Amino acid sequence: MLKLILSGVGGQGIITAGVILGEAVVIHEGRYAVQTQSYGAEVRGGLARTDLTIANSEIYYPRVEQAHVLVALHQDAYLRLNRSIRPGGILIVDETLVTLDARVDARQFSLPIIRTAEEELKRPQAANMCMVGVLVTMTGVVEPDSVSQAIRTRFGVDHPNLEAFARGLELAPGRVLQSSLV
Amino acid sequence: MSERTLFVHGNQACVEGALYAGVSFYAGYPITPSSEIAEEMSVRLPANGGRFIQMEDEISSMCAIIGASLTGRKVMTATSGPGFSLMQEALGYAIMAEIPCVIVNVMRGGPSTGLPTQGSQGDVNQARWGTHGDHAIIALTASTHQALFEATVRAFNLAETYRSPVIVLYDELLAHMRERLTLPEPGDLPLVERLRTFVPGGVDYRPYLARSDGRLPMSDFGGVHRYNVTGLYHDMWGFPSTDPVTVNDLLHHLHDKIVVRTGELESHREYALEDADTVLISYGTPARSAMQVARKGRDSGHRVGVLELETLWPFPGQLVRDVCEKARIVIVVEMNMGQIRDQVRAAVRAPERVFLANRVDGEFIKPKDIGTVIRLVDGHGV
Repeated sequence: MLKLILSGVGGQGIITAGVILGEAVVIHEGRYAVQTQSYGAEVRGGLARTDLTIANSEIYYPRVEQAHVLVALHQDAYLRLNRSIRPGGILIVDETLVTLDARVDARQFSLPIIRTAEEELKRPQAANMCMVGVLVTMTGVVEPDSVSQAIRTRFGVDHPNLEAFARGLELAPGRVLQSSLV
Repeated sequence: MSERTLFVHGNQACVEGALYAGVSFYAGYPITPSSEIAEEMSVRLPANGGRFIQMEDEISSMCAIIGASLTGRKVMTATSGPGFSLMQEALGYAIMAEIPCVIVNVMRGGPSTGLPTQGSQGDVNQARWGTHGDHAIIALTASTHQALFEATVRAFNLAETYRSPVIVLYDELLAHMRERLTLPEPGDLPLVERLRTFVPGGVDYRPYLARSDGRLPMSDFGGVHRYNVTGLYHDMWGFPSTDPVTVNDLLHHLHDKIVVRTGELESHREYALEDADTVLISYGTPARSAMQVARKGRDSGHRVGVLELETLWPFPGQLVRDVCEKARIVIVVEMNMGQIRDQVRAAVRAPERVFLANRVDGEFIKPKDIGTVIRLVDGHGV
């Protein structure tokens, strides 16, 4: 069972990223995923958080108390949620928007997710799919093909999100998660 | 994977269940955390030959589904606590006039406007006694999307079978979390269609002549029969009556058609109850935390079992009594101040062994919260 928290601010597509991962696991791999979310009342700018549990059998408790993997695409989210990571877990942050705190007991990876979406892909709103790509490479929790299919189904067969996802797969430093967790 | 496997939120699971059951009319006023039901219905129903009306409030929503049901359609509305309060008067009318309809209440924290975006199970007793006067009601609930789909289908079936409003109660967490839903093929789940009268037009039709099985054959309003529908006590033609025998018989009919069928209406799930000395009784998403506690407890040698109720009203007192017979302690897990705990206490032989594990702060009840109550009751402190 793998427990993830994806976080950022409203408007970054955090919830959508969680939904795409869930669809990939459940619809395209026939496994189990439960996704919950919370966000502020603001349309943009408030804390956005989605909890995702992925497993090979039925999942009962749907929330994530201590995440194996935490993603923070904004400093506010990083500050508010860095205690929700399991000590020794994997923390992925956006290099541009987040300043790392060495006191957080986690393997912290700072990656240019948003800059890649803005400057390379010329599509800032695809940063979330870029982040999904990073996650997939680093955790191996779901096959890249399953995610591509989920993106095609939700956004369309030639959607730029596919390119953003593929770029994210390469942006990651490689697989860092022990397979025993999945 | 099959195209019938979805990864959706609970409100969509409810909509899919209603469409599977054959809903063709929805009237409602959107309110968090039920709004996605109205949103989805507003797209799906017109596309399938049905009707969707956004009403000016919940009073009119309830009245609109009553009218549409009388014309022969399967109908529903969905709301949350404040809207459910407004529906109570017309809900009583639907009970008295025996009009099939499904009311979904996605529970948020109350009273009043309370906690719009956070979960609660505070409306359990409101579902039972929110409308005035002696009456019986059916209320179903669920803890997973698959179970919610099935409960919604069942709600339509029971509404049509017993000519009664049926309430589907679930909490905000189930409404908004996403998980697997596998849509059954048409025909996989039984559907109940409305019992219609064989009496032809122009002949004396008695719309409120009850059958011994509690069912009443209906005639689509606006069709071949003219008949009276009223919230007053009425005779078999539907005309108001104060005749003591008529009044007595009608109230007994309204009560008995549901209450004497408590066993048939009852639905539950259970886990490891055979030898359980600690019985967790729960319903809705808190049952998921109870399951987590029981699974972990069993792994470490504790005899913990779970009874998950899927029919809340009529309350399955006999089932609860039987399950708790040999239990050392019974802990009711719910997100209110003990609404089902009170029912359990009234049902069992040893009410002093019944305890409550609850949360009422808008946060979802954690396995740890239940564990703390078990430790306390067992005398191990917190």
